[in-house]
Amino acid sequence: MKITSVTATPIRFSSDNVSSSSVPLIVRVQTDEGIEGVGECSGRYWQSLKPFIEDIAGPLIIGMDPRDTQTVWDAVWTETKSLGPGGLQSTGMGAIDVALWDIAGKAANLPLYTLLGGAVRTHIPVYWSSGLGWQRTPDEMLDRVKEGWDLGYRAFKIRMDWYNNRLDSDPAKDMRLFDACRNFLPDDAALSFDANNGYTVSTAIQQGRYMEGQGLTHFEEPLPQYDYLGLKQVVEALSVPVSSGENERSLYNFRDMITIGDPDIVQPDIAMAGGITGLRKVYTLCEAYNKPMMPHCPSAGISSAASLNLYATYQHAVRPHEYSYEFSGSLDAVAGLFQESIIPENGFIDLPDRPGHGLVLDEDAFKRAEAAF
Amino acid sequence: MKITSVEAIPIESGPLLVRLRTDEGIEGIGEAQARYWKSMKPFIEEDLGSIVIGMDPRDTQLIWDAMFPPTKWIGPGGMQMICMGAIDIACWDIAAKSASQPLHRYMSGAARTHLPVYWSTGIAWQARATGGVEGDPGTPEALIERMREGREAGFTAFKLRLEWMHQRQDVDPEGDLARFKACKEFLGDECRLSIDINNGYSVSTAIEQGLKLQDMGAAHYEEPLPQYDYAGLKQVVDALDMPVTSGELEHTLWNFRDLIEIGDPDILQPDLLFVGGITPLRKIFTLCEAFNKPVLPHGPGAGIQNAVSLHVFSTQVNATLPHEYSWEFNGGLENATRIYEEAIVPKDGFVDLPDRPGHGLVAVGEAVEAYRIDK
Repeated sequence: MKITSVTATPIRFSSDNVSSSSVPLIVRVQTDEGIEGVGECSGRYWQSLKPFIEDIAGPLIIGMDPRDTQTVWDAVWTETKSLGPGGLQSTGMGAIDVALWDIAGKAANLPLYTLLGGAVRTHIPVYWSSGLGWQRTPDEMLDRVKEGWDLGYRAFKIRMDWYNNRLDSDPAKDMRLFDACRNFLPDDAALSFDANNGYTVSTAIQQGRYMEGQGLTHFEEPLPQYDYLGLKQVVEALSVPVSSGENERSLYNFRDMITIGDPDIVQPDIAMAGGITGLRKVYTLCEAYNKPMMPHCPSAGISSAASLNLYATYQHAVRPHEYSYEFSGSLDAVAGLFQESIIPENGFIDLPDRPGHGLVLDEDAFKRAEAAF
Repeated sequence: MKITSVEAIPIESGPLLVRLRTDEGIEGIGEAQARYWKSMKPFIEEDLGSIVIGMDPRDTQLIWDAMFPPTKWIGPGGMQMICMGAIDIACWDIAAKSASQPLHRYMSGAARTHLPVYWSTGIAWQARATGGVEGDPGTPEALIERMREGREAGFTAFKLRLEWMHQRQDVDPEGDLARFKACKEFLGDECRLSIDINNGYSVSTAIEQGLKLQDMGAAHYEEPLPQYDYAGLKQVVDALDMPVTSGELEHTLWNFRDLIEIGDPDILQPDLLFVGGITPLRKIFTLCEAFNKPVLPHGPGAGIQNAVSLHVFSTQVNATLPHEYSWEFNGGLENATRIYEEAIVPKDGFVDLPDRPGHGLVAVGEAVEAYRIDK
């Protein structure tokens, strides 16, 4: 089997996108045997990603067997290393890689999780992830949490989205957001807090100490992602699990983050870490260091389905997986893009036993989404 | 697809063949070493068999995870891993066959399928296997004859195994230098020659010997110390310029993590059978990749052990060193290959991995019956 074409198309699921910067970039890979695979990454920088995928990576892999996922990955990684390592390179490669695994699953007539070693579970809890806390009042954030509660979710994360350019801007307000959500949710509903790189070490420890007293499930990215030494201080000071990893790109980044920063939970992102091929290696490293994974993946479409297919194969992956439609469009719009959808119900996703990752584009809906963009 | 039967069949030439059958008629084979087959056969057939029968053989990780926790009192490691590994290999063989793909493609693709192998030859094994050979198998003259056999078979990379083991520590270091020197002179500079102490030195002996051996042109220096001495290994690695290797006796991913972090060998040598099959071997390769450690698998067995180890090796983009090969553990090439429809045999120092589905070795039923030793 040979790859015959690679395309990257920015879309909008519908006109009701919550953020103009949130545009999925859909990667379609065709083969000489008529099997198509689809992958996805964030299209925020689609003007650069599209030519990388179509004109730079494409010619390198056309003619290769799509089932040789590692071989294809290595070929693109080596040839394009001056564009990385990481960044646009691993994101673009990740979207292609997911499409190739989709083809491999379809060619073997197996769901992706079987090709990846077999699903421990296909009924997987997901948590409701809500962001932009830095701009929101406590009531506004609470409304977002209530929306998830009404949809049946029983695990939540609120994201502050501070980033390291707004370090320690308003820690007291963050705690008011947290308290509002914590007071609304019953004690047995999980609530996690994501500082999105927004604190210094001492602020992180003070905030974490307060929240763990109120009932915090995990404390995500308290520090700028490069501060491995500081992360170790926060991890050692707090008893609540501290998590990090969504901004790491390569296996080597994860090695250093684990051996230096020692987070309690590791959070690789399928698109950022180079697709299933890259993500799977990170999982293995986490296994060697006995670190639970909770993948970063606020997407509602293909990346979510692919990430869940891999997550399903891990014995100790019992924590809820991230879910959000903030970066796509409404659930109905996302569901409508595919012939058969994978959408959570009551806080769980059931992975289908269809071949590949289980999402096949509906051509009419895809054309509309392309035109909407 | 479901596994319907699990059999473990000790074969005269050395392997304990493990055969899985399925309800769709696809059969897969794996192997362990038959030396302790009387303990392994019931463990494989009854204990592990009762766990995996009814499971889908393509769920390789799921099967591995199902076998590991309930049998952990018999491990972790040792016989548990070796027997689980044999089943794991057979499952991967079935999975790749059912997808009509060679194993390397089913595992994500080969960086190369024309793979260099090195001739691995030792002192003690044959003496042990045959109950003693004529004369002293460890003289320089006798060892040159072992090298000559490999050279005439077309090999250009070699390893001399001294097989001291840790119970014979520091017995004859001077003699070891003479053994290496004789073989190196015979092979000449155009051939790679490595040396394997097989756990036989203390730290200071290992450093003294290593300094001389690297001057004499040793390609790599294998297992200078008892395998448990990670801290000592780090001293040896730091003292020498040539690559120091270890890992063939480690059983789990966690052992490899500690071996790397504490002992820091230059090259890692996991053994497909010892680590519990393809599923964990791949994880160990990934760990090595994270720490930028080349892998050079231990895998001298000329049958399934070697062929399957090569399949996994072929998928690793930086795996460019020659892989181990020997038929000493099988009583010669003829013995090692006669139970298979089509063998996988090196030619001029290279093995070409076949495109056949699965790992490519299919056991002939009548031959298995003829050479099984448990009748």
